[in-house]
Amino acid sequence: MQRNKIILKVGLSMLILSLLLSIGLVSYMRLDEPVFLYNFKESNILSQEGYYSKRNFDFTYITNLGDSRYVTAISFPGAEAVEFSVIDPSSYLSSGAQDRYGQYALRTVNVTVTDRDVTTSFDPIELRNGIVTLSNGETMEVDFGRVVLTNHGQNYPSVQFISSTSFGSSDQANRNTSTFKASEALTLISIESPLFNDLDSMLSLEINGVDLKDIEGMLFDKDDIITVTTAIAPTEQLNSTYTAYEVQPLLTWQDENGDSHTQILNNINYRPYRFQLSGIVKYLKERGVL
Amino acid sequence: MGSGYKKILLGIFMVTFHINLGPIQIVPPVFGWLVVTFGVTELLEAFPNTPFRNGGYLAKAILFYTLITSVVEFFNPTFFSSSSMLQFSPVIYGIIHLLFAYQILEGSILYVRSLKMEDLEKSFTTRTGTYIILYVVNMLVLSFSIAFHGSMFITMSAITGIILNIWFMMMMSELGRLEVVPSVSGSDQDFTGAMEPAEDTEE
Repeated sequence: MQRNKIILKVGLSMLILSLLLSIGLVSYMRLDEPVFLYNFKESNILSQEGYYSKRNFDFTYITNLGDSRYVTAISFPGAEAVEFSVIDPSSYLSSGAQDRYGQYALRTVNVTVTDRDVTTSFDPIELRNGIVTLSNGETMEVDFGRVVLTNHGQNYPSVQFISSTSFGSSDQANRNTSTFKASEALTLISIESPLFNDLDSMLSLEINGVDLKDIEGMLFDKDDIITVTTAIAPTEQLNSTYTAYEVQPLLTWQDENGDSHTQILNNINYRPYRFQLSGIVKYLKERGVL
Repeated sequence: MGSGYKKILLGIFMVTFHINLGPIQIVPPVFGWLVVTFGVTELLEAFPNTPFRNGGYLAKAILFYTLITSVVEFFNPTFFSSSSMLQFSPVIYGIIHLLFAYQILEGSILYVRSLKMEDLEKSFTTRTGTYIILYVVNMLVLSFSIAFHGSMFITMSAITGIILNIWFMMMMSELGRLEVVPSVSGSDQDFTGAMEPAEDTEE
């Protein structure tokens, strides 16, 4: 009997201690407001007959599991020229619209450029800091990283598309290979993206094995095969792996007659996917919100 | 005594296997605890001792607790999962439940001792100790899995909780079947009387 009393006392002390510890841990890990992951994205939004332009992009945010608020609007001071509509799937899907990691939920909002015809040319629009409105009326200022909306018109060179493959690999790089065949002699005049500097060494881009920095001025004969290989491999830092990247480099070609053509390289992106509770906690600490 | 133990068994059974029809509980745990309270009152009348008395208070405390939570959850089903503190309410409930089970088992050990069944007394003492250890471990798992939202561990802990409740019911059933020899029940009162001071000093 005496022994059982001791067991009970020890057990109860352990329980109360673990309860206090758990409550402390939960309060420590609780977020005051949603945390948006950084983005370095480029999106060509010009409407042009015959060419598809991706007019939407998404932002991922971390919030407390069970947070009933959702994003209703995002506005970017200085980018009033473009209208956006925002859909947060957690507004209509109670639990299916989020990934759960411990006591955090990862949700993705879809942002669409709603202007029906963005056909006039404009200077690239930079979206960095935005004002997010939540369903309960709260607003918060968010650093989204850097999203650039461009308006490149496309005027394809005479190439014959052969194939395009894409695969993820163990080093987290999302590799892409596109193969074309030149229908006439072509010179690659330039390759540009406003995000080349931001991505720096994370981006690898090769044409027929020639690295990005030596690409300009490459010559191709008629019937030459042009193989473009791209990959985005974030650095090991969480801040980098938990960031979304997308570039759409603009290639400028010159044909035999001296006419210039432009072409956008698509599908060069990386979206964070290897989330873990420990990683998220570490990331939030790095961001200074825990 | 037998009827008291049977009521506790029935009450714990109702608490463990309450039927839910969607979000609506047909028999909320509060009814189970009401039956348990009746059972403990009967035990106390037949064999008054401090552990049974404490068990009675604890059963009433849980009755009150489940009454409040049933009412709150009926009007606001997500109330207990919304706050970081309130989501630990199952652990608080578990702690009171453990204290209740301990008091009933300790009181029953005194009862078995009064029947001069030494082997059974020893067996119940050992089982009580094991029950407490398993219960505490299960609550520790529950506490941390709530903190980390490990739904698999929460389910595991709920299943273990049901198994522990079934074990407790089996012990109640065993105690309820004990035959009380009239001559022994006479010394029964003397024995508890002798135990009372010792119990009080321990409190």
